[in-house]
Amino acid sequence: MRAVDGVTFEVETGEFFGVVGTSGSGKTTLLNLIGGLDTPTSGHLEVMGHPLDSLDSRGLALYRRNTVGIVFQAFHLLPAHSAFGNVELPLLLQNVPSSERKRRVETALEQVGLDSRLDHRPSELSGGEQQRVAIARALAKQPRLLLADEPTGNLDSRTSKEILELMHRLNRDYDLTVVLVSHDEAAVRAIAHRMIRLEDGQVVQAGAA
Amino acid sequence: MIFKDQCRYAFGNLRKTLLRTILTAAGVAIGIGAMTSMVSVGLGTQRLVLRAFNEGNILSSIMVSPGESADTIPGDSLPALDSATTELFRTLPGVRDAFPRITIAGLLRYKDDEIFRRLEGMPAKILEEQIRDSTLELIAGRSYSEGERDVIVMSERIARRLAPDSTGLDSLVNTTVSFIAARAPRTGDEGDEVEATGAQPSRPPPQALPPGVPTFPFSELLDNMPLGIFEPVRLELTVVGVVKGGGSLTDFVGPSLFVPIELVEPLYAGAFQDLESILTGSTRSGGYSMVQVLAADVMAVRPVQDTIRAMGFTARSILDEIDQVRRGFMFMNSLLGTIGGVSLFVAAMMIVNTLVMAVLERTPEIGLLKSMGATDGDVMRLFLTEASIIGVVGGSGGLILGYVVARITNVVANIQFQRAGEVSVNLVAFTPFLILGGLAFAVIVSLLAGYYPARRAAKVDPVVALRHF
Repeated sequence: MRAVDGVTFEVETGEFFGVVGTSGSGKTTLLNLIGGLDTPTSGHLEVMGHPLDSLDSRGLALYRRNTVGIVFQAFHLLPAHSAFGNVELPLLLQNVPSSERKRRVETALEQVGLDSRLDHRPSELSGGEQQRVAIARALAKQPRLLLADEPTGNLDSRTSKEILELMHRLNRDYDLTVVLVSHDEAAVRAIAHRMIRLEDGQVVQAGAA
Repeated sequence: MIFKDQCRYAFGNLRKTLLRTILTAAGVAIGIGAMTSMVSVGLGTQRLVLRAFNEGNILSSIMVSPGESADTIPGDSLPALDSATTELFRTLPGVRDAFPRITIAGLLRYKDDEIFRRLEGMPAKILEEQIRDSTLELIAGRSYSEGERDVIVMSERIARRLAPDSTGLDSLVNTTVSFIAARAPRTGDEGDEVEATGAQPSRPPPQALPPGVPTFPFSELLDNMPLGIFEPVRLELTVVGVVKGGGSLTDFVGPSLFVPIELVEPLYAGAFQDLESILTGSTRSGGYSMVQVLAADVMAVRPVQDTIRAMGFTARSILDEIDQVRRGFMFMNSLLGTIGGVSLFVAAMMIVNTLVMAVLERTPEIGLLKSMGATDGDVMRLFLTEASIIGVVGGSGGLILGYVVARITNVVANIQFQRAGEVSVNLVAFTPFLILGGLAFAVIVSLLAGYYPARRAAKVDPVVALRHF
């Protein structure tokens, strides 16, 4: 069975691109492929000049480290670390010097409106705040591409709206390329420039949102 | 991730499971402690024995005896080991001195006490040298000088027996003790030989053993010997000094009565050497049984030894034995280390267990790190850093534990030594090599133990791992 089959699309730099579809349609698999977390069994996949289908394990890791930032549905924050510690993690992997690291972490948390919650642990933050920390973590490494996999899936509707507005603002203000995966087509249609709809791993609809 | 951040991150992870980390490090500490305490006691004992060998002239001494040598030509008669040969030895290149080792068995008598002992002829300058280089420690009186004859320097043990605690050792100095030796009855020839080798006119002539000497068994034994088997020789000697061996081998096995060699040399031929020789009636005749040759330094020992062997004598030095002693100690240390190593093996298993548990518990975290760009190598280094931190902490604790255990062992051993009337010694050698080696070993064992879990962590698939969040 092919989770993603014959999917072809291009995303422009600075574009907000949406991928919608029902559960099991292959949205997350597609995002994992674009994020370099998974590799295609066949076909060609190139992101920002990186031929992901032919990179080895180390090459994919370096691509993930320096090119993409990923935001997950379940936030994936480390509970023992503070907001600052969680956002700092990717910068440790990038060997960013400590003073620069501090500046970038504080800036990223400020961008998501959490500059007053630096020392709070995830358990001390609301769901929306946790997702903001996760977005700040993805932003701090200064990626060229931000991937978001159902970032509002665990949030109430009001908080979901805030998070999507935040992502829209980041795309607009910082010219950040965003690929947003969601089952909520209306929400995506509201902020994305273009979108595709997946069904059973295939693109059934593509065009302007 | 740079090393500093890696250590900080690893510390943070270990702190999260503090109790488990402490217990694992304690396991390493016990292993390293057991190993280092045992090896330190082994090294300490080795150091003690080798130092004893190194003291005084032991390392530079060559003991020459008549006997057959592999270098002698078959059919040639063996050369005599006598005063002329001793003089010849002195002229050999690399030789500092040579003198006969003459000991005579007999009865030492002081007031009502008497002890069967061997009297050792020792040149005044050699005795002074041994006192100077601390092989022997002068604890009362003085050494004797060249030209003095009827004097004696005795060991602390004998001195304490003759002079009980209340009087002190100084009370013994300048008192007179008797030494009664036994020698075969002199024939005309032997008598001439004694006179010829320098019996001193100033010394009182040999006297018959006074009748009615009360103490058994020696006096009675002498009294009851068949007439004609031996001739008693009585020496009246002034005690001039008391020495002790300073914890070295000489304290345990060395001679305990020193007299000028000029005093005993004339008595040597025909004298009984020990109790057995008295009972069997066998006496020494012609030449010395042993001559001690002192090489100029340790490096000269082998060439001098070879030269003397080529002359047809048997020449032995401590260097012949020391390699065997070293090998023996290496074996002993290895054995003790192995016993400690078993404990460390158990500790290594604890590290494997701790880190495998950590990998299982932290699979989502590993997946997250990989999703953010951690390579397999980064993840592996992170877990190996955690393993080495356990090794460093456990190893440091183990060194402290090992030192404490070794010190306690030393105290207990010395209590036993003191009860047995022996001198106190330091059995513990916590050398820099042992400290650094112990720490390095703890880290290496921890790294080896951490390798499997670290590799397992490195191979985690991020997509699968992230599903466990």
